[in-house]
Amino acid sequence: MKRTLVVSAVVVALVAVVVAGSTFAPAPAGAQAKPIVWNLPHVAAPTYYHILNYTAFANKVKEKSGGKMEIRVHPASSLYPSHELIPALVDGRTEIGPVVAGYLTDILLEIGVLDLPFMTGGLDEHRKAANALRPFFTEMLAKKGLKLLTINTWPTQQLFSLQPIKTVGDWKGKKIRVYGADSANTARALGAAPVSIGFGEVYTALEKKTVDGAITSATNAEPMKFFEVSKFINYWNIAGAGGEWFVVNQKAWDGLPKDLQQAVMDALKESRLEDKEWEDAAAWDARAKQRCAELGMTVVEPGKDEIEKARKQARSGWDTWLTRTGADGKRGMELALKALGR
Amino acid sequence: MRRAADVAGLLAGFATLAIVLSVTYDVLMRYFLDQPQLFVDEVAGFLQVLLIFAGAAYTFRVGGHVRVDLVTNAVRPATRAWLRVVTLLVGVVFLAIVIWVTTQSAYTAYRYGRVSAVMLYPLWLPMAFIPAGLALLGLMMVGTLVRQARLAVGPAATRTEVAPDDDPA
Repeated sequence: MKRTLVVSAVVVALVAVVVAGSTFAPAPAGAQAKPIVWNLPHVAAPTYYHILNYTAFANKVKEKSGGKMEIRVHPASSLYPSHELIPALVDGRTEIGPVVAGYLTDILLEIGVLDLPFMTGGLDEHRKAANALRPFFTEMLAKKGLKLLTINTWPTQQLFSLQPIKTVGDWKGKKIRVYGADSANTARALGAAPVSIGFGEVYTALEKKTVDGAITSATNAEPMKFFEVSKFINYWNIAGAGGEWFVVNQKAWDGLPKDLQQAVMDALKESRLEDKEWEDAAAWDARAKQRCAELGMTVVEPGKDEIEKARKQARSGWDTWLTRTGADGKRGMELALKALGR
Repeated sequence: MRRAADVAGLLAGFATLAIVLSVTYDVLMRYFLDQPQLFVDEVAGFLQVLLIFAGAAYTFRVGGHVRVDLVTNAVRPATRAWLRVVTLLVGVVFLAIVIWVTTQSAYTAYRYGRVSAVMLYPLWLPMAFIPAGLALLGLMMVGTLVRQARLAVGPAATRTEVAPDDDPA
């Protein structure tokens, strides 16, 4: 026992010496001051275009700041789980990051107006409307202490299914996987029965025929192997895009020296972050459509009149959103409908 | 304290039953009547949190938590008694930190009016199950720590680990 104590004491003393040595040792000559480090958490996989674009932006920040600032990109929810992202930004637990429309369930719900099902019909239309609503988004985000940097996007949301769903009538009675209250209300408004299933379980649900269809991005067909378990991909453009507002916590921004603020703004411009996001979404969507056909799926294109019919019916599904978002939501809706010419 | 742990354990049991019944109801409704029950997925998730954290204190009381006894079995009872004092102390400190952090999370959810994705149920309630269950577990651990410390400094013949309180009464 005595011997063990002596050995333990020696080990502890050695560790203490090493730690103290590394802490108090003088910095080597020519060493730079510690850079300011910001964290940028994200939900997308490391190979997804968002991460590639944010990494390019982060590299540019490092370059423009002469190494005085570093932005660390954390993909695949490795820093915060998906639903924690928005509170983390609002609380300032993380300095910079995306507000993803798919996770707007409470805080900042009103900025998701363009992401309501059938609100926009494609990436171009969505972007045009998002540009028109930029002052509205800026104002709503500022209310929560966030500064809007760019408006980015996810690809469109389509419908995978076991049977073709080409007309509004085809939705009737189908069990459809949804991902939130608004998509559930919309599915219901179209006569379908919404089923809440986590993204990771969609493959099995389609395989076991627990659902007849699933709303998600066509870009998931190949990586998630949905082509193996659903024969049809129906291009209803349920969401013309998936909004993503790239923001910075205002307090963190205010605490940044002016030269570094300029470096961030220059990096945004030089990396063409916003343009690149929309270009990539379009390219990924186009490639996904082509790959779906090559992988043996039937690409179903509902007629414009059917999509318009669905949009009219789906509007009743927006009521819950309007009730929950109050005056701000009402204003956002009016601006969105005006921008879309509806 | 024992009574509170038993009541919480009972609650965990009822939560298990409620999960089984609600999931069965959902499957039957979906399979036979094409009427999936949207609430079940979220309610079952919340009940699972209750099941885990309400059951933690009771499980501790009856000595049901997984323990690694590779080291403790190899040392003398008196050393074992002191090791238990240390591990319980570390456990209580660790729990205090987790309780503090999870209470803050639940409070933040309440402050922001955070709701579940589909049914829009308030999230603070299931989130509050976590610190509440852990607080009960922590109190049970403090009780055991006091008993264990008394044994450790007591007469040499009785210096050993306190037995789990497995009296079902």
